[in-house]
Amino acid sequence: MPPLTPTVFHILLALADGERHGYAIMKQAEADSDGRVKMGPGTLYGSLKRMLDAGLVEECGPRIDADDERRVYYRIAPAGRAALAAEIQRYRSVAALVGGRALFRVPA
Amino acid sequence: MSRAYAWLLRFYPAAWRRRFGAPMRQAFDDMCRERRREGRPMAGFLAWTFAETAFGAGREQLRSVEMRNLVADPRAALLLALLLALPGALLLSVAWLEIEPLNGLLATAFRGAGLVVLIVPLALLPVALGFSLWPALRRRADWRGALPNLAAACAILLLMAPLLYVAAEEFVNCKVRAISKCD
Repeated sequence: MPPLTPTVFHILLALADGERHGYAIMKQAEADSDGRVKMGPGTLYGSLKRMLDAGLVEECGPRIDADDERRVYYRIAPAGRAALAAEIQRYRSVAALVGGRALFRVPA
Repeated sequence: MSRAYAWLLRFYPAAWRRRFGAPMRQAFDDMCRERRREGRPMAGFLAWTFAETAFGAGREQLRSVEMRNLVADPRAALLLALLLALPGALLLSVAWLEIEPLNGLLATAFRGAGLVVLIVPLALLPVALGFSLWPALRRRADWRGALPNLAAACAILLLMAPLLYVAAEEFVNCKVRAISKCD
């Protein structure tokens, strides 16, 4: 499975624990990345379109939220969960490799 | 602001707008509402979001259709024409309004690279003009649908005139009269 872009990775991560609408995905991705991944609607929906086409996420359809706004929710698809698991495994392998070789030492 | 954002979304392909237009506008409204509630500044956020969405519209237009279809679609052709005319418009605005420090940088670049600084943005303008006029020429029976494109073509022509004048003046001074300050 090819590596995921940071945007796709963070969208999948945001959807991993439940269905979310567009703005909630943006906020979760920003929180998960300590503010490093900032998406606007153009980037988010561009990525979501390609992820929908690739079968990584699914549309749950519109819902009326507590604030009376109609929002479209998205959820992670089985292929998306597999891609996310593969990406996390890749990170773990790299972390283990770096740890095993002691490439970076914590200053005393 | 929501209306301006909805207008910007018109630059996305029609099929895209039908599917994602409403959620994108909703996400933008949510972002604005939260920033206002938190009392955070809006200007930088709006500039970034509008630029990001305009870039997204260009990217999706390029992805959705082939080039020959792109220039036939009035909105896509207008977006392309405006992007091509942007360097010329920026150059003229900076020089005309004497926006510093850009004007100083431009003068330095002009002394170093000479006419190239003028010719590159100027050369893009006829291409932009072609893109803006093409939908109206192609759909002569329905040219009213391409009115914004015709307006853009007029603006591009207005932009070309002073740039052509300056380029011609520099060329005559440097090459014909061989004025030494041009060296």
